[in-house]
Amino acid sequence: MVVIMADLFSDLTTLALSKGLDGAGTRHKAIAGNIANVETPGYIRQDVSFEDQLKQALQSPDERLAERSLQAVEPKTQSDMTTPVGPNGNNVSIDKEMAELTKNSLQYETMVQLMNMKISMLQTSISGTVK
Amino acid sequence: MGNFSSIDISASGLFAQRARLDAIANNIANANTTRTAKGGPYRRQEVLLRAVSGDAGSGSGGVAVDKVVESTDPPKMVYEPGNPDADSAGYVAMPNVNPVQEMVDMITATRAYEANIQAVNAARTMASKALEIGKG
Repeated sequence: MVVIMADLFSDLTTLALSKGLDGAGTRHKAIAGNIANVETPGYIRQDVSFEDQLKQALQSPDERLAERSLQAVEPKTQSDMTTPVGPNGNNVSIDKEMAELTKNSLQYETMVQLMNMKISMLQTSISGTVK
Repeated sequence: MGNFSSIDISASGLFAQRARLDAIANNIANANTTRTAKGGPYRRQEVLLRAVSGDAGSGSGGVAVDKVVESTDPPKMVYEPGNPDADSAGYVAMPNVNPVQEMVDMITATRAYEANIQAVNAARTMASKALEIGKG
């Protein structure tokens, strides 16, 4: 019974979604920091990556292995030097940050929706009736 | 945790931009001030910002006002022999405030302030979305 309960709530989908939400939350923090430092001389924009780790973990053919590598997914914050550095040593582009902000919020909301769908599927299978 | 600390970061940005606006307002208000407590004309104030590093591995912790400094630009010398503050040659030392520059700075500070507000709103939407998980 314990095994069944564990499988019910910690399947790969739920785990992947929670890791995704975690990553999007961390990315929002980085974007907020970039926007706060839009006028700070010498500031280099911070970027968060986790999608490639998530993808790699989910590609594993063995479910147990995939679960273990999913657990290990950790959002990585690093300096992003791809945008041009201005005369004051700052490379934050406010347009890029606002676009990233919108994109990240939508991504977060999408994952919340998927999580809700997953939970309502569970509820359907438990109650046997479609809400 | 995650979402709330990003609101703190945006709040530090709001505070920094407000400090800039305060300095700009002070500069414009004193654009013609020839007498100060230190003597001589008013000198343009400039806010220096500094990035705050966050806890290990999480990147930024926002922004802080490092200090407010006085501009070292020379005062504008205006020929006004009748002015009580004029020197022996008839020149008055006027503040080194350039109103055009102040207006431009004011626009950038206002826009940066608005961008931080947007970031707070996005964080709020995300947090309230997260509260809906499981409500179906």
